[in-house]
Amino acid sequence: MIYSFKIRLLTIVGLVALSLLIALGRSFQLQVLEGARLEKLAQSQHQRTVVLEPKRGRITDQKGRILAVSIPVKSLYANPRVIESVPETARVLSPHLGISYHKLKRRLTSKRSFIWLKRQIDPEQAKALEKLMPKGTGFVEEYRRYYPQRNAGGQMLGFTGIDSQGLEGLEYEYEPLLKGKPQGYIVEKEGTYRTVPLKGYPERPPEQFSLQLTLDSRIQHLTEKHLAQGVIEAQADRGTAIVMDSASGAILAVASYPGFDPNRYRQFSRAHFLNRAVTSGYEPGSTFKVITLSAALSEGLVSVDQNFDCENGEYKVGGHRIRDVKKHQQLSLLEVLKKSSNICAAKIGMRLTPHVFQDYIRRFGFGSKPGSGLAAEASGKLLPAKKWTSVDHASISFGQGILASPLQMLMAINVFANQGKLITPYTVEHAIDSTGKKLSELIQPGQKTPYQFGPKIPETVIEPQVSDLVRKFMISVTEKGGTARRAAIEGYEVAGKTGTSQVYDPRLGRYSKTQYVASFGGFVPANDPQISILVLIRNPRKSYYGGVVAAPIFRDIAQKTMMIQKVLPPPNEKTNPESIRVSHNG
Amino acid sequence: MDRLLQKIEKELINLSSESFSSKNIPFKSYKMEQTFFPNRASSLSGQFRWKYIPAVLWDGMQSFYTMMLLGFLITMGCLFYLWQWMNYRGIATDLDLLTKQHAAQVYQIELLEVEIDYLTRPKRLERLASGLMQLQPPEHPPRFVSLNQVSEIPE
Repeated sequence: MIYSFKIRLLTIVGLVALSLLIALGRSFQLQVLEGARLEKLAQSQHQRTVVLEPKRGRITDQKGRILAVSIPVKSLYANPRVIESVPETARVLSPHLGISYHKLKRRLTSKRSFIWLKRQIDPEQAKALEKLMPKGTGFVEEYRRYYPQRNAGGQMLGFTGIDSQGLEGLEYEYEPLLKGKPQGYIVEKEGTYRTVPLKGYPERPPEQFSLQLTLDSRIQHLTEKHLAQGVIEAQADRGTAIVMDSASGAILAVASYPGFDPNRYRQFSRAHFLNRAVTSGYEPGSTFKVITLSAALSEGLVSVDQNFDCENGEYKVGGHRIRDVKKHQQLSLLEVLKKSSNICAAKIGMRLTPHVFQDYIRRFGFGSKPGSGLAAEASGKLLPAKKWTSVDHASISFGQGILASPLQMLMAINVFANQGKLITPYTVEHAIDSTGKKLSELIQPGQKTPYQFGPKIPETVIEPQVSDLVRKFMISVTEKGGTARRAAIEGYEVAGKTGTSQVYDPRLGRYSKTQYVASFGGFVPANDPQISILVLIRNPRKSYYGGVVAAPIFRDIAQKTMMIQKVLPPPNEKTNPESIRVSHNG
Repeated sequence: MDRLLQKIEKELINLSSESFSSKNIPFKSYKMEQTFFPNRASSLSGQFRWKYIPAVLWDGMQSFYTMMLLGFLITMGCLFYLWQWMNYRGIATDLDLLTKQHAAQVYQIELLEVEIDYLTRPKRLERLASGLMQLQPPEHPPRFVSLNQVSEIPE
């Protein structure tokens, strides 16, 4: 009896122990052996990660006016596997989406579980569609890039693709900054379909940067307007104009005509997208003579009181003839620039050895990228000094046989506005992070060289005395007897140089006799330079001289820019200068 | 029958005396320890031993008041935790809602900013000024040679 009692007791205890052991074993299996997998499974059922896609950063002008911005819009998708009636869905959606019934029907019969029907729909269109929404269709929120200023600065800004990736211009150049990094946080799903943030909730929005440019949209507009007028009047192929702050190198406007609207970039050909101010090279022609003269003056090879024989308009170098537009006998150094004599410029340039001359050309910024921050900068083309023939040497002296971008030429001209200092132009004033902090330097992970914004340290290229002398020569160009009388502005002294260069025709294997590039580069007011401008007109048909075609555009742009920048005409000697000058920052 | 019952009773008494003898007791309380080893040297009686810890806990568990206090404390702790958790969830939900509202407001402001910049773009203003008000941009900047001239300009 007692024995059987003990047996029963032991059996019960054993069973209880066994069941406990099984429970323990199972919990060991669930907690330890499969713990990680099951934890993930459980988390996927009641938790989810919300990814905050950063909104592409803004691009604004120097006054904060929006040039490019991303706005959330809706995109329509469909799951063809869930659609009940393909013909009915196609019939309902077709008129609203602007897609033909048959095309839409074909798309909806796809075997895939996700297809886009239309991306980045206009808000009004999305509202109308929301009311219909057949089964198997839905909206996804995406960002669409808008350019509120439309054509203004189109080539400089560039544009983005359908997935908000930068494709051209600054949008492409600063893609890593503007795009930003996505950021995620975990939320717990409640029974009521509400979500509760659990961990990793971002204290601030995802990291992304906006760019504030040096561009002024008012100056940009007037530059584009006068350039377009000038190109049309000259019956030219195209034109380029750059407006720069002389002292800092801040680019105030960059215009290329014909332009394009980045909001509708698909409607334009690729040729319209090029920012020809930096991407295209041209032979600067006579505007380059200021570099030749300053190099010769710096080396002490010419003097102010020296006269040069201009060979009565024709001069032979290495079997080639160099001609002047007008025949000249003897010209002083000032007159060489004022009358723009090719022969005398060649003679002056040939006094320099090729290596020394090329060294000066490089110092003025030719042959290397300007580093302005604009996309797709060209470095130009410079023949190595040891390969120069006498013809090359002579023609480079008056700006033929050298390829430079308009921005490089403006940089070089701006040296004379800054007492011989080369100012590197810049486009981006600063980057602004998501907290609103302005940054002048920024390094991204995996990036070797940091992004640097704002003005750069100037480099001395020539002595201030030489610079001042050439500047005075440049003033004479816009005065009576000079080649650019049309660039003169009433009340101001204008310093500049015209350029009329022939275009090399690769089909003919020589310079074209019908195609020219007319240009004018200068700065104003000449005695206290505030604005430096370069205007370039490609293939004008009415008249091809820089002084006739480009100089008036320069004048119009300079005049209006000074009004915007509040640069009043200099006072006469009787008045106190302080009583009238208004700072351009004021 | 009586004899059988007496036998069972005897067996049970034997069983209980065997199973609960000092040798067979599976676990001894602190009190029992003191009872079963009364002749321990007085110098060792206050000595700390690790085995006393579970023994003291066991003794504590025997006490109704201790258990009640423990139960009360655990219940209070659980209630406090629950209160804090509910509080946290409430705040998190509010925060989520506010974040969404904030995002919606930011979106509205941004739209307005873009609209302002679109409507006040220089090209449009110039077109409107010339079209509606017959205004043309000035051709020349103000031609003051000196501020002294301001007073000299005839009416």
